[in-house]
Amino acid sequence: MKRKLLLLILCVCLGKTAIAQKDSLAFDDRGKYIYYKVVNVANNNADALFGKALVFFKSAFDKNTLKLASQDSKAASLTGEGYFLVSKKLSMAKHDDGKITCKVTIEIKDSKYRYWLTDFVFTPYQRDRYNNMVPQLGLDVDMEKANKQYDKADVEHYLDECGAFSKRVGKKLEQFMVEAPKAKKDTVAKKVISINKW
Amino acid sequence: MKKKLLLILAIAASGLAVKAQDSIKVTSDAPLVVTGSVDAYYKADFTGNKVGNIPTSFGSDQNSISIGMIDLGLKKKVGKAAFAGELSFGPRSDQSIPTAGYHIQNLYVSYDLTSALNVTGGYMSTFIGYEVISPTGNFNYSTSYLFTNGPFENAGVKFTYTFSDKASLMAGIFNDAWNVYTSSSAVSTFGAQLMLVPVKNWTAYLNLAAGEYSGTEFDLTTTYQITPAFKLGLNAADFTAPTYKSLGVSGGFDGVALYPQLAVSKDVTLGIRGEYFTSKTGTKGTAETFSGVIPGESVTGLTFTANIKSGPLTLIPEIRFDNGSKSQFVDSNFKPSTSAGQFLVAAVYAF
Repeated sequence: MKRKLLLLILCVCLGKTAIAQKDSLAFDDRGKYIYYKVVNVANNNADALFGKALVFFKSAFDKNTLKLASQDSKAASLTGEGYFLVSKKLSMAKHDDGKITCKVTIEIKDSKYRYWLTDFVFTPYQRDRYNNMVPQLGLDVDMEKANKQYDKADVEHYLDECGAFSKRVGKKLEQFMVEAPKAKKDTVAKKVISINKW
Repeated sequence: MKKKLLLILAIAASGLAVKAQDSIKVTSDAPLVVTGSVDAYYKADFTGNKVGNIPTSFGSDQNSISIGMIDLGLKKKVGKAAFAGELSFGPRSDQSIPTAGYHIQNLYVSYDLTSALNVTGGYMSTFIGYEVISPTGNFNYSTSYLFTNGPFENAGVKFTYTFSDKASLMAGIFNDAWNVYTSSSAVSTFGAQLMLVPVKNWTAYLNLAAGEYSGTEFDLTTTYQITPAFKLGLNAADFTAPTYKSLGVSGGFDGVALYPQLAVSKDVTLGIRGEYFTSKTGTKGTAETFSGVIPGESVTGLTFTANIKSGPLTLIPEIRFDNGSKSQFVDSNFKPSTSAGQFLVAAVYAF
């Protein structure tokens, strides 16, 4: 029984690791890593969904994480640039070892939309004289070719991060596309308590 | 026992799930950043003598397996405010800060006054020059004459305005003396740096440090990553030493160093440092001698270096030949010589 349980633990651990690495990213027809999803949203016309997608790009994350690059209301499509920092898996100390940028695209039709994240590009960081971790210019590498430049374990870890980032962006987008645009925080009525009567 | 194993199973499963969700940083407020390095080396002068022949900074032991330093840096930014602290211990640290018992390489605080304007104050690595104290910041393990005779550190306050990602300007006021924590008498050295990106992957820094006490240095430091495999660096500087009223001494140095580097594989990069350095004769009295180069004379240094990487460890084998216009070195019989050579191999672990 103990052996079976230990085997089960091992399987779950290995399974989780495998899922984390491979379940979210696929290759597109250009041979690039892609996170792709089509979502149906009943009773929403394309204009309404376009407006929600615009709000998503402008307010879902800070501008360093995701920013709108272009929008085309006629074609009902929006593109943006995503950005996140990564650390080496085996690094003893905690610091940023690079950044990964990617392209985020949303295309909309009545009652449905699709989105994808692709063109993941890794830029390595180095420590400068002031103890800052800064980008190494001219050494950008597509994640598809990163194995040629960096250790396999690090590249696998960076791909995990690409998948996790994509999931996070996708989950947030799907929330924005089903919800009505939120009222601004400053319009929320203040709670006032009168102490004159009691 | 079954319950314990099931508990372990649950923890293992939930731990992995949590890790996958929380590993992405999406704000600019990073956690406490820890960096550092350790380094050690073996060096042999071609004369076979125990006494060092090439007098540039660090790695000064001959025929000895010696240590460089342990370097530990911390950095944290919350909102607009940040700090950095960097401690170092070892012979390389001692030689970089000319006061016994000093162990701080960087200690500063900074604040973003606007999205484009930053103010930073404290004791900082100098903004002058191509090479740095930390062995992780240099390709070559031995250092240049330009680095050895320029400032290592400056204490002061500086403002940096970023016009775009292609241009920024720094201006600040620094202590009169270089490399020490307190001023000699005043906060009187003016410093400025213009950063330009003429084309993609090419950065150029035009630097000035000017003060009555420490002299005036103009410096150009530039790096161009021409292809992913080939990088070219250049450092040129002109230094005019201060004119001491009591001694009537002046002089200075000029120099230029070129740093071509070629990555021949994922883990191996080869590079050369070619340097020409001359000591000025000066206009008043007896001018200073810089790293054994007497006024009016010059030295040419040629250093062949490889960086062999294995994860965080870099092995640095290096051969160096220096040739002076006058006998500033010694041969194996300790007779004056115009040339010197050395071999070293260093190991640098960065974390």
